[in-house]
Amino acid sequence: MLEDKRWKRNLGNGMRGVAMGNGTGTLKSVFFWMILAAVCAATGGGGQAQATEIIRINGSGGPLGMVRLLAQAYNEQHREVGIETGKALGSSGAVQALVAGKLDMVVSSKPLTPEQGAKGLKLHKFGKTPLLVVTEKTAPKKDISTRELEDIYAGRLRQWPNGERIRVVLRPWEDVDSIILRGLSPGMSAALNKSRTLEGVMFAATDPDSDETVSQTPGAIGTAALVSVISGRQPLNTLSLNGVRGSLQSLSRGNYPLVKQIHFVTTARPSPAVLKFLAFVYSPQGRAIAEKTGVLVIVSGKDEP
Amino acid sequence: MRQKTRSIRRTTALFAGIVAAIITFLIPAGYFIISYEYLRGSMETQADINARTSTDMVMANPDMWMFEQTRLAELLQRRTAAGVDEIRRIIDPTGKVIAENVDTLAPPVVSLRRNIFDAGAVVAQFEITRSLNRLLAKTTLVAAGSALLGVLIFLVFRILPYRALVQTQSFLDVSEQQLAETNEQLRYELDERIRAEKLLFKMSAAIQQSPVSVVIMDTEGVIEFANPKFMEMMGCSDDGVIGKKLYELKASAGPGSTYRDVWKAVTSGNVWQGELCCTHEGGGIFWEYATIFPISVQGAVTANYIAIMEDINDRKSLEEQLRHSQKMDAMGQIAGGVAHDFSNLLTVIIGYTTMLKGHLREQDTVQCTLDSILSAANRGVHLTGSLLAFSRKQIMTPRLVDLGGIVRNMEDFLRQIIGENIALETEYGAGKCYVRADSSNIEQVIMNLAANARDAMPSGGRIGIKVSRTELDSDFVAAHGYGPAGSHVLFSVTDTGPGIERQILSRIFEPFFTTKEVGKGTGLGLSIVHGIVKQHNGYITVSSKEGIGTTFFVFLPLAHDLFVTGAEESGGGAVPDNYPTGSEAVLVAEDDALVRALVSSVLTENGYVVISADDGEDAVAKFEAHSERIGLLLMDVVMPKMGGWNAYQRIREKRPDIKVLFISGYAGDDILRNGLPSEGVQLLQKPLKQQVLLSRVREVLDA
Repeated sequence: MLEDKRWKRNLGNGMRGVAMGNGTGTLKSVFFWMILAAVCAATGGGGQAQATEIIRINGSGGPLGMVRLLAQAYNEQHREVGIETGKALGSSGAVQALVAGKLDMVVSSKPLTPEQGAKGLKLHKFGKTPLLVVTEKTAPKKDISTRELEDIYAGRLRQWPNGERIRVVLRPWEDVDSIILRGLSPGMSAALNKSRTLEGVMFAATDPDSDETVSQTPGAIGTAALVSVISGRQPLNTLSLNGVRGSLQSLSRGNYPLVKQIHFVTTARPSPAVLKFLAFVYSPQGRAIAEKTGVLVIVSGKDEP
Repeated sequence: MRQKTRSIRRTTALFAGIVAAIITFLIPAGYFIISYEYLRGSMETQADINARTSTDMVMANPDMWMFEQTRLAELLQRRTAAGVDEIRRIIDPTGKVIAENVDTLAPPVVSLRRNIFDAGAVVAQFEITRSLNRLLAKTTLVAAGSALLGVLIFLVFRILPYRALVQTQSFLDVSEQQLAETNEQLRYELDERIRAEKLLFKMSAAIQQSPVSVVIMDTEGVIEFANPKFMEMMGCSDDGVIGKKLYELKASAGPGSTYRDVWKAVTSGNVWQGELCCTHEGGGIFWEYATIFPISVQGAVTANYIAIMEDINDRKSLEEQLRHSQKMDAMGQIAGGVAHDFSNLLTVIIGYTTMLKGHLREQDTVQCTLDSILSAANRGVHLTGSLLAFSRKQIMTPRLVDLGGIVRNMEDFLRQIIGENIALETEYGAGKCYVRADSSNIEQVIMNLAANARDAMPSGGRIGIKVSRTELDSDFVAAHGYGPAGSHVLFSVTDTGPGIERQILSRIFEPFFTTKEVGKGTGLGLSIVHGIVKQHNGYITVSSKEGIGTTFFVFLPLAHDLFVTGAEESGGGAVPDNYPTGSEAVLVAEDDALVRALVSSVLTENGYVVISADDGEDAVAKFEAHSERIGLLLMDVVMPKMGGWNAYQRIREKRPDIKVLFISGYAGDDILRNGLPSEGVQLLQKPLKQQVLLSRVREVLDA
C-alpha cells in the first residue's frame, strides 16, 4: 500500500514535471508529454494494481527521470510488472542498495569501483547526456564562458549584469557533476575547490535537489544534466558554455565539454524481469524514449545485455 | 631579627609558591575545561543539527534513506568555517556504519552521539568524534605560558612582599622595642606609684592613728588637716578645727613665748619646739609639747607648716607631783632640822627642869614656875614630834598590823572626837588588811583625817571610813607617780562637807597651811598624815568636789609576811612609871655638850657611872681606856669626826658583846646616812625624857 502511494506520488511528480516542461521544451515535447500523461492517467492505477512482479530501480537523479518514462512505457506492455523508482538515491547509494538487495537495478552516472565490481555487479553502458550550466529563470544570462564560470565559483564574480547577486549551488565534491565540472579546466577545478571555502554558497546533494534549489533561488547558478532538465520538473534557465549549447547534437559532435555518462548496473544474475526490462530499455523503443529525454544513447540494439 | 626574617622569607615563599602554583595549574586546567566544554558544546550542536537533518532525511525516505549516500556524504562533509578535523558517522542500531566522513584524528579523541528518529523510533545514531590533540597542545602551550607567568609571579610575589614585610617587620621590631621600653618605663612608674601610694597610705595611717597630734597648716597658719588625736585632744570635730588657726583654738605657747613668737620662728624657716597650753572644748586645759616646722612640697618653697604635738599632761602632772614632792621634802628638811635642834634644846630644858624640880621641895613656890616651864617644853616636844612626823624623821617602830583592826579599835574613840552631830560609817573589806606600820603613827593618821573631816562639817554630816584591799596597776602608778604596783590596803576617809577649793587642793599637805581661823589649827594635821604615809612607803591622794565632799585615799603596801608575833600584834611594852636605876658604867658619846651633861647627870643621879666622850673617836678612845668597866654605850648617831654607828663598830671589834643604845634627833634617811641600820638596833628619839632614858638604859642593860 505504501509502495503504491509512492508510486502515485512519483506519478504526480511526473505530471507536475510535464506541466513544468511546458515552459522549457518545444511544442513537440509538450505534445509528447500530453500523450504520456494521458496514458499514465488511463493506466497508472490499474496496472499497478495488477502487477505480480516488482522491479526496484533507483540511482542518479537526472537519469532516473528517464527510467521512469521507460518504466511507464514498459509497463504499458507488461502489466504484470510493476517498476518502483522512488526518491533518487544517487549513483553510489543506489549501488549500495543494490548490493544490499534493496534494489534490482540501478541507473548510474559513475563507473563501478573495483570493490563494487568485486561484488559481482555488472555495468551496462547506455548513453550520455550533456551537463548544462543552469541558472534561476530570471537570471539575465544565456551564455557563459569558462572564465566567467571560474570567476563565479571562485567568488571573484558575485553579481549578474542586472546587479542580482550570484548565488552558487554546489554539488558534493565526489558527486559526478562536480567531477565533470572540475574537468572543464584547471582554473575550474581550482575555482570549485575554492568555492567550498566560500561563505554563502549552497549545497545540493542530489540532482533533483540541485535543480529545485537553483530554480527557486534568485540569481542562483548550478549544473544540471539535460536529461534532468527535460525529465525534470524545474523551470531553469540553461546557458550555453562558451557559445555552445549543450544538446544531443553538440554532444554527438563532441564540441560540448561537459558530458555525463549513463549506465545501468545490475547484479551478476539479475532477475528475468530485470533482464526483460533492460531489453526493453535497449530496444529501439527504449532508446527512442531515452533520446527524447536528452540522452544520447551510445549503444546499439546488439549491445543489449 | 634573623629568625623573623627567615620566617618572613619562608612565609612569602610559601605564599608566592601557592599563588604561582595556582596560576600554573589553574589557568591551563581552566583553559582545558572551558575549551573542552566549548568543544563538547560545539560537537553537541553539530550532532544535534546533523541528527535533526538526518531525521528529516529518514522521514522523507524511511526505507531507503540509508542508501542516499550522496546526500549523507554531503551531510557528513558539512563543516564549520574553522574546518575542524572530525569523524562523522551514521550508525545503525546494530553498530554498522551507514555513512561516514573521516578525517585523520590524532588521539586522544572525544565522541558523542545523537539519535536519529523515524516517527519516534530510533533508527540510527549520528556520531561525531573530534581529536583532543589540538586542545591538549593548546593547553600545553597555555600551561607553558602559565608556568612562565607562575615563575614571574613567584619571583614578584616572593621578592616584593618579602621586601615590604621585611621593612614592615623592621619597623614593627623598632616599634615593639620602643613599646617594650615604654611598657617597662610605665611598669616602673606604676610600681613606683603603687609603692608611693602604699607609702602614702602608710603615712596617712600613721598620721591618722598616731598617738600624737598632727596638724597641717597652710602658709597663713590656717589648719588644713588635723588627725583624730588632735580632734580628741581638742574635743571637737573637723568643722571646729579645719579652717581655723591654732590660736583661735585657744592654743597658746607656754611660759616665755607667745603664739606670735612661734609663728615668727616657723615662718623664718626654723623649727619651733615648745609647750603649748590648749583649752579643751569642754573648758579644761591640757598641755602638749609641739614641734612646728615648715615643709616644702615637690621642691616648692614653703608650702605648709606641720605641727606635731605630744600629749604631755601626764608628764606635767608628774612634774607637778615631783615639784610638790620636792617642795614637801624641802619643807621636811627644814622642819626636821628645826625639830632636831629644838629637840636638843628641849632635852636640856626638860632635863634640867626636871632635875631642878626634883631638888626642890614640893612647897616651893618655884615648883609652879618649873611646871610651867616643863609644860611649855612638853608642848615644844609635841610640836617637834609633829614636825618630825611631817618630815618623816621621827623614830618609827614598824610592825605587822591589821589596818582594819586598828580602825575597829578606834571607832569609839573617833565617835567621841567627831561629836554627836556627825555620823561615822565604817566599812571593812573581806579578810585582814595587814600592813607593816607603826600602829601609833597609823592611829595618828586616822585621827588627823577624822578630825579634819569633822572640822570641815561644823553643821554635822557623815564621815565614812573604808578599809579594803586593792590592786594598783602600772597605769595607776604611772599616772600618779607612786611606787611599785601590786596589792595594797586602801584606807579612805570621806566627808560630806563643802569640799576643798580647786585652787588650794594642791597645798593642803603643806605644813602650816590651814584654812581654819587663826588659833584653831596648826596647819600640821595633813602634813603629819602625808609624812607618815610617805614614811610607810604609802601614797595619799585626795578627791574633792565642791558642795559634795572630800575623800582622802591612803594606799599602804599590803604586807606579805603574815607571820605575826604576839608582841607585834599587841604593840610595844609600856614604860614603867618609876625611874629604874643601875650601877654599870655607861659611855655617853654626845657632841652637844649640854645634852651630854644632862644625860650624864641623869645617869649619875640614878647610880650609873658615866664616862663622857665628845664624838665618836673620843668614844672609841675612852672605851679603850675603860673597856672592862663599860657595860653600855649611849651614843648619839650623828657626831663630828666619827658617827655613833662607826664608833660602835670599832668598839665592837674589841668587845663584840658590848651593849649599845643610840640616841638621835633625826630619823629615817639621816640615820641611814650615818650607817645606822633601820632595824635591830636600840634607838632613842630626842628630846630625851628622863624617865624614858632611864627605862631604855635599864632595858638594854638587862636584855
